[in-house]
Amino acid sequence: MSLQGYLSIVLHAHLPFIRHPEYPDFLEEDWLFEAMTETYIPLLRMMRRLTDDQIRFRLTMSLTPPLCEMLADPLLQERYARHLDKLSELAEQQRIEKRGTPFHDAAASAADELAETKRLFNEEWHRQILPVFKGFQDQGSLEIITCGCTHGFLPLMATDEARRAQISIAVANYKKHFGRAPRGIWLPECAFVPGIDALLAENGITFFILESHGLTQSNPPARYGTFRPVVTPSGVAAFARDLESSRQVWSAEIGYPGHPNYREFYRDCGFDLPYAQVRPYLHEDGVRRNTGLKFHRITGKLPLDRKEPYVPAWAAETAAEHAGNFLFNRQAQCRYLKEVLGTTPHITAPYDAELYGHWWYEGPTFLEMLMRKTACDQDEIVMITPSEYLQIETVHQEVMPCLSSWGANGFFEVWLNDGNDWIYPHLHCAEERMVELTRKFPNADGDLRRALNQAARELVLAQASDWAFIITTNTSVEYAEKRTRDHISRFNGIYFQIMENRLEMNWIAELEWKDNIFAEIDYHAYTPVNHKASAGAVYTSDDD
Amino acid sequence: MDRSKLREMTIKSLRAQAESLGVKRVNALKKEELVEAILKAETSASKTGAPSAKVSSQSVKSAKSSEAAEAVKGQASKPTEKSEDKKSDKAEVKKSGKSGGKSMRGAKSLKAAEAEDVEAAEDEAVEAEATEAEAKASEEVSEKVTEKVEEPAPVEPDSIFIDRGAILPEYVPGTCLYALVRDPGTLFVYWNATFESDNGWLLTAYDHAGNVLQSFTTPARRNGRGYFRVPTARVSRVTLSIVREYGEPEVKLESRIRIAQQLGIAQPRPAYDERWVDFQKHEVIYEAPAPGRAPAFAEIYQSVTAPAMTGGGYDRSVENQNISGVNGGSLSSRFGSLPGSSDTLVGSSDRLIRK
Repeated sequence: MSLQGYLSIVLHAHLPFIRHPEYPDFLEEDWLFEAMTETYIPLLRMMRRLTDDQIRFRLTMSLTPPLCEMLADPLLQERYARHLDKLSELAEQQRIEKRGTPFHDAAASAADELAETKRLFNEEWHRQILPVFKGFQDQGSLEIITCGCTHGFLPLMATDEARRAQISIAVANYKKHFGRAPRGIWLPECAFVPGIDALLAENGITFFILESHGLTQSNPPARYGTFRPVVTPSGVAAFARDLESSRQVWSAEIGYPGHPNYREFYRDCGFDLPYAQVRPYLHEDGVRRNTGLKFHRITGKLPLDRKEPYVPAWAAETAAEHAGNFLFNRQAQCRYLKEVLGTTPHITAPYDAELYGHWWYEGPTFLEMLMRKTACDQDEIVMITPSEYLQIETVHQEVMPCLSSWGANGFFEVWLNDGNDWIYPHLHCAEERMVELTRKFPNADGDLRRALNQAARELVLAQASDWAFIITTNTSVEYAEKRTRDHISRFNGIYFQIMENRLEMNWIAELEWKDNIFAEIDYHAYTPVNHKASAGAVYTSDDD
Repeated sequence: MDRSKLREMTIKSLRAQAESLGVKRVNALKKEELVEAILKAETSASKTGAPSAKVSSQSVKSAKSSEAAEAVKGQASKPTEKSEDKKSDKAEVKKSGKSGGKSMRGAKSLKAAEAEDVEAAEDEAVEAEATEAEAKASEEVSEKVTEKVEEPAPVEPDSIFIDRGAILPEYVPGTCLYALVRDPGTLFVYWNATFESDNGWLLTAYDHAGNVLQSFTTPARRNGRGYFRVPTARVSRVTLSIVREYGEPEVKLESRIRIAQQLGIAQPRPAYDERWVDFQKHEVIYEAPAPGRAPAFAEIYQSVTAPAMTGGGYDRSVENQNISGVNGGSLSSRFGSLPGSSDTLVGSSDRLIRK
C-alpha cells in the first residue's frame, strides 16, 4: 500500500532550573538526575541503537533552555555522577540480595542498565549529553526545538516585552548549545493566544506545537482540523495535537502504560528496603524517598503490597506489542482520513518526554519498537519532523488558532486559580520594572550591565510556569513558593539598587553564582516596544 | 542539650541559644525549628570538634509535602546525633515502633541474605567464569553491606524545616486595576488602590453596549483579587468603584479589556472563508470570500477576468466542480481533490454570480 499519512512524534523535555551550589546536595536536584537516568539517556541509547542498525527514524524533541543549561552545568554533572555512583552501588547490592528470588531478573536488569548509563555518561560522553543530542540532530534523525526561555506562561504575562524576551533569550540559548537557530518551538504548556505567533515570527521561528482545540476552534475553521498544520497570519505554522494517538498513550484507563506487565512506579526500594540499608542512599534529612529502583510490576488494580515481581522480558514483549498496535491504529486512522479528507493527513503526537522512561519505564522500548516497525514493516506511515513536512508540503490554510493550552480543561486554570493567583501582581510589577530599567539604561556597561543582566535572569526564573503548576498540583508547594518569592525578591533588590544608584556588587556576584542560568543573557531583550501592554493592560482612571 | 528541655525554654532564650551556636536568621524560625537548628548545631559542633557550627536556616531542605508527612510520623534524629539526644531518641523510637521495627527487621534480613549470598556465590563460582566475577563482586558488596549494617541502626527523622523563601511585600506599588482572561467563562482581576473606601469596593464588568454583566463587592482593603464568571468574549471593561454611603458607586479605576479579541475568544471573522498560502513563498494561493460579504464590482470583474486566483475570487469554470481546476491546476497537483470544497465554492460562487 502507498503512503497514507505522516507521523511526527514530539517529545517535550523540560525541567525547571534547579541548581543549588549553596548546599552540598539538594533534594529537588534529583528531578534532573531521575530524568537523566530514566529518560534522556535511555532515549539517547535508543537513538544510538537505531542508528547503529541503520534504521531510519525521525523524532522531534524540545529541549528547553533551563534543561539545556542544567545538562551543560559542571556542578550538576558532578553531582549526577555522584548520584549515579550511589544508585549503582545500591543496585549491585540488590542484584546480589535478590538472587534466587523472583525479583532477581528485575534487580539484575536495573543494575546492568545503571552500569551502562554510568559508563556512557562518564567515559564515553565525558558527562556532556547535549553534544550527543546535537549529533543526532546533525545527522537528520532528530529535530531539536526550543521553548520559552524558562517555560514562562506567555498568555499570562503583562507585557509584550516580557513575552518577546522569553522567546528571544531562548533562541540565543539554543544557538549557544546547538550552533544554529531553532526552527520550531514548544510553547510553554502549549499555551497560545493570538499575537504570540507574531513574536515567534520576529524571532525566526517557523512552527510551533498547539493543543487540539486551538485549531479545531480556530478562526476561520481549519478545513482539516488537526490533521494538517495551518499557517497563522504571521506566517508561522502550527501543528496541533492529535487526540486519538495521545489518548492511546496518555490515558490512565486505556493507555498503554497501565498494562499489568509494566513496571510499577509507586513501589520503590526507597520504601521497601530496611531503613538501615537504604539510609546511606537517602538525602541528608534521612527521609525515605524513591530511589528509582523498582522491582514490581503493575499487576493490576491492587494495593501496592500485593504487586507481583517485575519481569523485564515480559515487559519488553508487551512494549513491542503496543508499538505494533500503535502503528496499526495510525495506519487505520490515516487510511480513513485520507479517504475522507482527500489529502494525506499529518498526525502530530506530542508527549512529555519524561513520560517515556520516568513514568512509563518501558516507554523508550516502545518508541524504539515503533521506529523499527515503522521503518521496516510497512510503507503506509512515514515518520517525519515538522520541518521536513513543511519542506514537502508548502501550501497550508491560513487561520488564527484560538486561546488554548494543554492543561486541565484546556485553558489557563491550572496556572491561574485561587491557590496561585497571588504571584501575578508581583510578576507583572517586575515585568514593568524590567522594561523601565531597560528604557532608562539603554547603553549600560560594567557593573550596571551585570546588574541589569542579573535582574533579567531573576525575572525569567520567577516566571517559570512550573511554580504555578506545582502549587496547583500540591506536590512540592513550599519549594515552588520559595522559588517564586526568592526570585521576585532578588529582582526587586536589584531594581532598587539600580534605581537608587547603590549597587552592592558582592551581593550581585553571589546571585550570579547562585542563579547562573544564561551566561549569554542580554537585558536588551526587554527593550520597550512602542505600544502598551497587550494581554491585559493596566489602565487607571488617570490614564484615561 | 535534651530536646525536651529545649522545648520547655522560651522562644527568646531559644533564639539566644541558637545565635550563640551560630544559627543564622533566628528571628525567622519558629520554636520547633529553633529546637531542630540548635540540636543540629550542637551535633555539628560535637562532630567537628568546633565550639560552634554554623547552621543556616536553609540548611535543612524542603521536601515534598507527602514525604514531610511521613517524616513527621517517623520521629527521631539522625544516626550521627550525639549521645545527649539518645535518651529522647530512644523514647521516641519506643513511641514509633514502626521505624524502629523496620530497622531491626532490616538488620536480621540482611544477615540472612548475606549468608545466602556467600553460599550462592560459591556455588556459581564453580559453574562459570562469568558468574565467578559476579560472585567476587558480590563478596565485595556483601562486605560493604556488612560494614553498614554493623553501624548502629539509624532511625527516621521526626521533622524537617521548610524554607519558605523571602517575604514579598503585600502590595504592588501604585494604583492599578488589571484584568486577565483565564478561560472563555472566567476573568481574573486584581487591583491596588492608594485611596480609601469606607464601605468597600464594587467591581463591575460591562459589555460593549455598557450593560452590566456582573458585579460584586469586596471588603475595603487596599488591594485584592477576584474572578468574574462572565462570557469573557463579551466583556468590554471592568471598573473599580468606591461605594458611597447610600450605595451610590463612584468609579475610581477602569481596566479596558482588549484581551478578549486578542485572545482569540471574540475575534472578528476575517474577510474570507478560507485562504491558502504558500508557506515558503509567503504568497496567497487561494482565497474564498466570506459568506454574506458583498464583493465590490471591481472584485467581481477581477475574479472573472484575472487568470490567477490570488486576491479573492475564482474561475467560473469551477462552479459546481471540484477544486481541482482552480489556479491552473496548482492546487490539484498539490492536494489532489478536496472533497467538500466544492460546496464552499458553489455557495460562494452563487453569491458572487447573483451579485
